[in-house]
Amino acid sequence: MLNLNPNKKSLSIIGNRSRPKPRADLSLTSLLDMFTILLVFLLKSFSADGQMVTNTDDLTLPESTSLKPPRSAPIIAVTKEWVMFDDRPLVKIEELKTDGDLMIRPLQASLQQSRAFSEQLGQIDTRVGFNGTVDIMGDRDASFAVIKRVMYTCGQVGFNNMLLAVYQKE
Amino acid sequence: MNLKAKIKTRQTGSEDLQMTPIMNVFLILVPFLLLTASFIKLAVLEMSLPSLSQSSSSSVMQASEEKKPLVLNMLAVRQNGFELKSPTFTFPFIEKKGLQYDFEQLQTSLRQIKDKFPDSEDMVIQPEDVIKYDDVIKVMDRCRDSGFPNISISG
Repeated sequence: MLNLNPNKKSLSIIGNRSRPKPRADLSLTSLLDMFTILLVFLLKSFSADGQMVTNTDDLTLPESTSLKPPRSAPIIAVTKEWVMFDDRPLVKIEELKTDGDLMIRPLQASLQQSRAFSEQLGQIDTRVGFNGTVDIMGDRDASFAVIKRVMYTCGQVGFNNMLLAVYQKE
Repeated sequence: MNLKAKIKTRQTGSEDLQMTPIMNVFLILVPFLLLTASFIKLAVLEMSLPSLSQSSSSSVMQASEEKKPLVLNMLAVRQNGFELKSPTFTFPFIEKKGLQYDFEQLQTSLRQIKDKFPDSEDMVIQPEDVIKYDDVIKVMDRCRDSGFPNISISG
């Protein structure tokens, strides 16, 4: 409380009962209320498993009314420029247009590697292992021709359970 | 004397809680949580191809489910509209409305199939190569909403 009293003398007469120094208190209670609500809300939306997707201009997922939660699996991303596997760029979309083969060879090699690795893990521990699940993250502007070839390649290697990642619509 | 007075005011004076440390904690926690908060929720559409082991046993499955008539619904997504094929139905070609696909018309047609064959849950979607992925997802959504959750995609 600021001591704004002009006649200080009368105060000093009363003596030492008044505060020795003028103090400025902030009233923090309302701010604290606000922060508490904000904190509760943010803690509620906190997810420990982190984000699966990094938002870039190159990869905008389509929206869907699906409510199924995503599972962790190897990720194939089809961006505007590249076909990527687990964050590694493999083939350019441009190059795909020129060759007529339905199979995407570099992707096939990577998928086979991933399958061999998870099968080996499965030999050590039965809880993990190869279950044929793969996440496909396609840009909403990608043409179906590319997606089709990605799906075909997955199917050929044995990844039959494809999860198409989408954004949840409100 | 002066010190005594100070102690006295501390004992009898303001009974405010010391909010400042809590505020400090909150000030650090709030930006941290804001950074890690994910405001966009991810979901997945499940789509599976028949694996080799499944296809070999599917003939047995069909034999056991002979009572259930197999209804093969096909939905071709073309550049200028939808072409829906289902047994006993002949649907006219659903053309695009301007630049947008006519999803309402598609949905009413799908409902008609569902009314006639309430047990059928399969839909084969055949998009053309030039169709955008976004449109394929939208079509899958409409099929699922109309009661055809088993969607397969054929190239």
